[in-house]
Amino acid sequence: MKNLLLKLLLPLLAAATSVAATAATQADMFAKPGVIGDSLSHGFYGATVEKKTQDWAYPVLVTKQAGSSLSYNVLEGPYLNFEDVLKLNCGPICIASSVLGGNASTVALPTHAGITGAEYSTVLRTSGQCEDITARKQERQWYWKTWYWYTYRWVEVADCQTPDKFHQFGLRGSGTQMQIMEKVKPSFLFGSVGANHVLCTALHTSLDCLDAERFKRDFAETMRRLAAMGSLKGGVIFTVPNVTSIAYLEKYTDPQNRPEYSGLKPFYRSSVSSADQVLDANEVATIGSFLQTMNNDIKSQGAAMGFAVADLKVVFDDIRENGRPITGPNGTAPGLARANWPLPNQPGLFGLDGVHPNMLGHAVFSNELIKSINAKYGYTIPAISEYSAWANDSLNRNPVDLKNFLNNNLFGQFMSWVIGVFA
Amino acid sequence: MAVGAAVVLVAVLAWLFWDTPAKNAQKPVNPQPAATPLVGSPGAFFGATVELPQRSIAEVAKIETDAQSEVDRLWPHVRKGEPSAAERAKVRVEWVNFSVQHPDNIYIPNEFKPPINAAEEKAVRQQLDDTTALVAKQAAQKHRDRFAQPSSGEPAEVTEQQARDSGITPEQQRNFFNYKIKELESRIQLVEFYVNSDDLGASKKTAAKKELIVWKKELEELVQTRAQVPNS
Repeated sequence: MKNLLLKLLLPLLAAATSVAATAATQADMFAKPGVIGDSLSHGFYGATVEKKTQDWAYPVLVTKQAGSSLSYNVLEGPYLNFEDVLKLNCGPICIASSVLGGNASTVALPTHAGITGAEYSTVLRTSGQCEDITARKQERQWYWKTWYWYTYRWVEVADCQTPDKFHQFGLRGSGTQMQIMEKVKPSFLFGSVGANHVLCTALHTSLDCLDAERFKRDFAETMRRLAAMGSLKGGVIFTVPNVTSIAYLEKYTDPQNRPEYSGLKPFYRSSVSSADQVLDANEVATIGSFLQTMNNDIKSQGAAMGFAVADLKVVFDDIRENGRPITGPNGTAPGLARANWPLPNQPGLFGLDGVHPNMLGHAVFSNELIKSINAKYGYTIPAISEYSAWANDSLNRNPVDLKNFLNNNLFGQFMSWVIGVFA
Repeated sequence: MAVGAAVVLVAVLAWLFWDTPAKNAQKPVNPQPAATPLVGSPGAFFGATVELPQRSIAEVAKIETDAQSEVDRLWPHVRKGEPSAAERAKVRVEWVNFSVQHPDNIYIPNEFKPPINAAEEKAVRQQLDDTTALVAKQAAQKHRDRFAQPSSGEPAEVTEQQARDSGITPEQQRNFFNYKIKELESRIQLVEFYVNSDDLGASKKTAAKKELIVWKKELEELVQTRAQVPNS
């Protein structure tokens, strides 16, 4: 009797659930996807952005899996792909061209506006032409006061300073990331631009850049303007992973056991001569508490927007602790991928800066977002084969142990560039 | 009315899905825990395997075709493959030619430079430490003041004594300026080498020349500032 009733009721229940969860079909939802984002969405990879890295960035992968597409200005730099340089795939001509940077191809209005170095504040303020579209300056304006008196007055005008090259080449003349979305009017949004509000602490080993008030204000304003567009049917947003456990930082104990000199230091430092060069236990705790507040905000605002919320902090913590199993279709298992750059016989999810994911890392990242989108909206977007991503990722196939290159003179500039980009 | 219907539905579902101890007792229990994938053994690119059901040749072929089409769709650059031997040889020739003209350029890979001794290696590591420490400090400062408005005024002046008291030393600053100057000189040499090659179009040439003017001005400023660093 029970079984019969179950058989009758379950399809009805499933249909009802599906109607509620998929008010918009997958095709409707992904009719016009849009992206605001930072280096993760842009495809920044040790230490540049170029076509192949843009193609493997998570929003592009998830969108393709959902049967849709994104458009973006394709970059060829600035700066260089350190992996290609170390593997001698890129010579002086190739490096010079990449250091200068430029566009390999452009679009009139990109639907993917994610830019390296961005945060919610720059989503609102930085265009491809002005670093801060709200900045103002006083300018002398000459005019005829009357027919006999030529004089001047001070007027306030836009103070348009040229932005960094990632914004110049990535956004060009289309406006800020927010203005672009307001023109695109996307149906689905990738809306994560939180990481750089806190990643700076790891790269600078300093708390100076933490500004909770600015994050709160600019995140809320971004969400308000996105909601006001009226076009969004849904979206996805993720929590920010623990930036103090990225491969860029490693444990350090001061030989004299001074607490402010012990903690986490950049992996390439041979010594610590100042407390500024480490994140001590108190600083790590402050960052942790900032992250928690920030991630709570992301979760609640994301839910209020009706977005899928992926808790990538939890996923990253798990990978950091246990690794990510990578298994091939015929049972081959290259091993557990670690939250580090790959090493011989040890797959890794990160690029050579220890901060940004490699091709495999983006596939893993994408699958977590797909899982979260499917759960939220009741879709069946297929997962990406992480094995294929691993097997075709040049850094995983042919790992470079960066620690063997610390005596390379170029290494200082490579790290300086990475630190500077996220200033 | 709707609330009443919902209560009835929940009650019916609870009754239907309620697991009795008797039902649980009938459930088969998996006697073995799931197999753990084995990690690749040292020296082998592909590691040991997990047990999977036997597949026919046709099934395996289909899996491989699907996998290839996924790769083509998601990662189009993979089709291009790794650089060919000829392309790699061309890069080596470029480096050799470049390093003859600019032997001290920091962009030249170690393979094209004489090996360094332990003392030189120590100096390189010290320069890396000093340079990145200062770059991180500058970056933190820039980040903090990114959206500062003119009304907030200029940052307070720092005296030399205050700087020294905060741990800044002439050696560290000199190391930093030396590296920045060396890098900028190297970058300029690299781009000039590029401009003089046949490999770039007119628009790229214009952009390169414009950039060179900016970098040369920056270099001049760095050289002047380094000259101010006291000996001790």
